[in-house]
Amino acid sequence: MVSKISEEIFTSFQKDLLAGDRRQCSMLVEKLLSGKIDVRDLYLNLFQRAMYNIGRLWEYNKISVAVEHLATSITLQMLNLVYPVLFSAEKKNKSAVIACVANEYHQLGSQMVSDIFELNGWNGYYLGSNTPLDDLLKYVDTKKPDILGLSIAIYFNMQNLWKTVEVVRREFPGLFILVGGQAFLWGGREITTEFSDVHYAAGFEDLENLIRQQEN
Amino acid sequence: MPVDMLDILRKYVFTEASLFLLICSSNGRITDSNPYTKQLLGFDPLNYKINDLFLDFTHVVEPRKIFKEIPEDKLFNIKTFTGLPQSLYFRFFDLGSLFLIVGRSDPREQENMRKEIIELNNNLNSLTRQLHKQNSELAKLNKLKDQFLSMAAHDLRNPSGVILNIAEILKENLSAQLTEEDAYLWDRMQKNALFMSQIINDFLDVSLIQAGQLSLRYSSCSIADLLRDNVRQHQIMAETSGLKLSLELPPENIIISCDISKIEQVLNNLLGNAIEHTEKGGDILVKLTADAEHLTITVRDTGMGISPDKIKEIFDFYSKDRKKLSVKKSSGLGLAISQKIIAAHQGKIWVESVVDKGSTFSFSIPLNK
Repeated sequence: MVSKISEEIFTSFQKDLLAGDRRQCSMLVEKLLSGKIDVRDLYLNLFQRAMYNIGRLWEYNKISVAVEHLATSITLQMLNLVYPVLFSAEKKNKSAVIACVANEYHQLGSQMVSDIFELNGWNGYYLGSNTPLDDLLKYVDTKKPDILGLSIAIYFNMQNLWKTVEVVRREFPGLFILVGGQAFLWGGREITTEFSDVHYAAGFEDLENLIRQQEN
Repeated sequence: MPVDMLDILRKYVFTEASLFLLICSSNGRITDSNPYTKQLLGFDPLNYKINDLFLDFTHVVEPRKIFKEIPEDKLFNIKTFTGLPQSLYFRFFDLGSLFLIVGRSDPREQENMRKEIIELNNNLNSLTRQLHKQNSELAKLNKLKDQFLSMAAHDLRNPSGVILNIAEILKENLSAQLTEEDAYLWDRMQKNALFMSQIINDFLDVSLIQAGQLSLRYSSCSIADLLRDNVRQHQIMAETSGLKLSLELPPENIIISCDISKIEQVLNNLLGNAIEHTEKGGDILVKLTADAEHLTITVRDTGMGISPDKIKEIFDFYSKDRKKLSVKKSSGLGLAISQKIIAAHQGKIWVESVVDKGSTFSFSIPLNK
């Protein structure tokens, strides 16, 4: 796939994100959508790339957390612009429930993961950030998804993830559990060997491969 | 603490620290402040009075009357550059000829607020996503419903046509043998079969419109002739209802290009409604006018009229009152279908009405189609 996101478009979007200019960001995304850009291209080469960069700027103390929050908030709103295209796709009889574990407030990545499920014709049910374990268990019991996706962005929430996976594994022994998020850059991947049927997706490509595996 | 360190700290507090600092004279006039204070207020408070900055003291100017020296932090509200008030914990130091006013925020409150904003923002985005998803699912269900309606109407149209034809043939063949009661029942059966057929046709029209497949077959016609025929067709019905139906035409013969059957459908609907909703002794006037670009047809009655709250949705497919505002034996979809037909002709349809005085339905279409 040849990306429609040129370096110029990317730089301009990132600059507007850092400046907190929601209007300019919306205009750019709307223009790309009216040019029938592939949603994957938009997610991967614009939203994800820009937010990874901004995350690094925050980690290296080049920008404040307030600037990072504002950029995240704007990007979340950009996803809303994509939804009329995203949800109109034909559906397969497959579903995934995606959530951030308790105390995890970074929801952009996990919301994008839910959208990737939709893009692949799955029903991507998104529970949002800071999902209490009891609520998660009830929802999984109601929806009976093919995949449960759990996301963490901050490493100190890793313990919550382990606890969540442990309980979910006990309550729903056969459920395919997907884990991912920026926190795994700091470790924690051994969760996939500690529990059965727990899989780690490092990025969109991994995620789509796992989705295809589950379809077959 | 070594003197040097105190100097450094003093300098830091007055120039860079996130502390709200004001120095004011005993009469409450501000003589100095630090950069943080100026940033938070959005202006330099020099020479302002303290009651200009504190929302809690708007009428008092004498600092000693406002507060004595307060040994512990006390919550007060100040105006900020955003226009929103900010609560800070203040301490006031009475230095005789000067007052030192120090304000600080509570880090726990700030963090709680930040967390709340993030949660609210996250929830809003999750809900928006859910809304889009449900909207898309509803749109798909709606499309399925439209397809079902279209299929059902299409499948029902032929058998209903066959019933009407056979009823007509049998009536001719058996008319001599029918008793008066039988003939009455036969007539009712035919009228109801015709009513059913009209409803099926309305449903078909709606399904075509909803699917964006309403197509027009344009041909030229004399609009005056079309109106004469239509008014003539409705004359008996009007006379039976004790109404005077008249037609007013301009002297010139106007030729237009339109889908004749569809324009007739609109006229039938408007005239049928006018006859239905006008009491005995009333008048109905059909009038044609034209300018260089448009022709306008109005159907004015002296009937019961329509209340303003109902007028807003009168051309809506899903209007709650569509059945009440249409002829009794109809689907009630006529006005909504008429609106779509006129829109397809690049025209517009509207209504003016006064309760108990009557209604005037008008539509105009461009002449140069």
